[in-house]
Amino acid sequence: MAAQGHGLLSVTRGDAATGFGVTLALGLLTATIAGQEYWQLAWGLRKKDVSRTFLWAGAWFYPIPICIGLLGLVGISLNVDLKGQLGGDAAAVGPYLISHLGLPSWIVLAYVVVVLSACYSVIDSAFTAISSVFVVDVIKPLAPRANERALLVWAKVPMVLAAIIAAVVVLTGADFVTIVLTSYAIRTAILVPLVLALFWSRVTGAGFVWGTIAGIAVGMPVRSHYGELWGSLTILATSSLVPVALGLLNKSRYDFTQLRRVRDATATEGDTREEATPAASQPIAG
Amino acid sequence: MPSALVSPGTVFTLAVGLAAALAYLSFMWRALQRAIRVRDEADVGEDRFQRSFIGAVVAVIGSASAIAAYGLAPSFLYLGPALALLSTVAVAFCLRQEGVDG
Repeated sequence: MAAQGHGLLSVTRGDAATGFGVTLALGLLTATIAGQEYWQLAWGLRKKDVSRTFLWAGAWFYPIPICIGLLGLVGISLNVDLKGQLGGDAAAVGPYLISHLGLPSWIVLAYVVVVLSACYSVIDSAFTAISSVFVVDVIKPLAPRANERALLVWAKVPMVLAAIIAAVVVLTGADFVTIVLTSYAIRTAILVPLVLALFWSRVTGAGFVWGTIAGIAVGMPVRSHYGELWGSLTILATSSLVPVALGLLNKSRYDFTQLRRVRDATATEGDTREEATPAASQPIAG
Repeated sequence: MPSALVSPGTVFTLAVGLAAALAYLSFMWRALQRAIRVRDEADVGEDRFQRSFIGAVVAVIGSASAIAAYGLAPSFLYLGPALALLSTVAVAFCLRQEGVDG
């Protein structure tokens, strides 16, 4: 690493932040705040354990990408050719190095197990989240009398569809970094509208929806012309301005306490549960 | 030609990592057993997070310092794996608390 020059790893360099850091940070923040899988965890935990669990698990996750990211730095120090050896996919540097450094086979196998475990962890969270949203927000309103057995069958449908869509995206040949940055840029559009919906009683449903749509519609073309930094900042600014403007025009206030009186959306006919478990609905006024 | 042998530093790191992983799994198993035992009990108690908050601050400052230290000298790159091992120990400690809390 020393041979690459003293400035390579300096935190004062801005190119990493402008190239992908800002987009990645905003996308990760949005993933945590808006991710259905995290909300399911929060609702599944006992009240006394929610803050403790998220603080420990969230904060102590930081060192993991810092550690795994070292493989990229090793790749730089060994002058790995991004186009020639990795096919233009920077995310391939880890597997490439592990399999080309002359490491013992058992370390290569251990690395494969770690990577697959991480993948399966994310995939099963996504599958659980998408099936929950589909059953609660689509099937239950359409078929309120559906029994548990039928709901279980319906819960599997979005998993299969999501798997097919993911496979198609992978088969297009798009590199992993491009997929991640594009999806993160798009999901940034929901960050501010969702935070406002959770904490500001004047946000309207129209403000939320149009803020998200405007953020993507305006920000993505800017991103394609001016790069990650300006694209992400435009998405963030546009998706903030629209819900704030519409919220300021809204005279009514949303009563968050009424969520406590919402009937459990997952309850089936004959179920006596009345205590609120807002499994999918977010507090959006209007 | 790959060899089955690795450096003493790698062996030490793997040994510490293996010990931390075993502790993690053991405490997670106990926490899971307790969660199954008490799952039908009433959801009572205050949200306690003061100690966790201190732990989170330590983790964030440690991670930020590690990234900043990378720019000082290449030898500081080893802070990353050290922090990753520490994170396993920290979460294992949290699971240990979960397994014995009343």
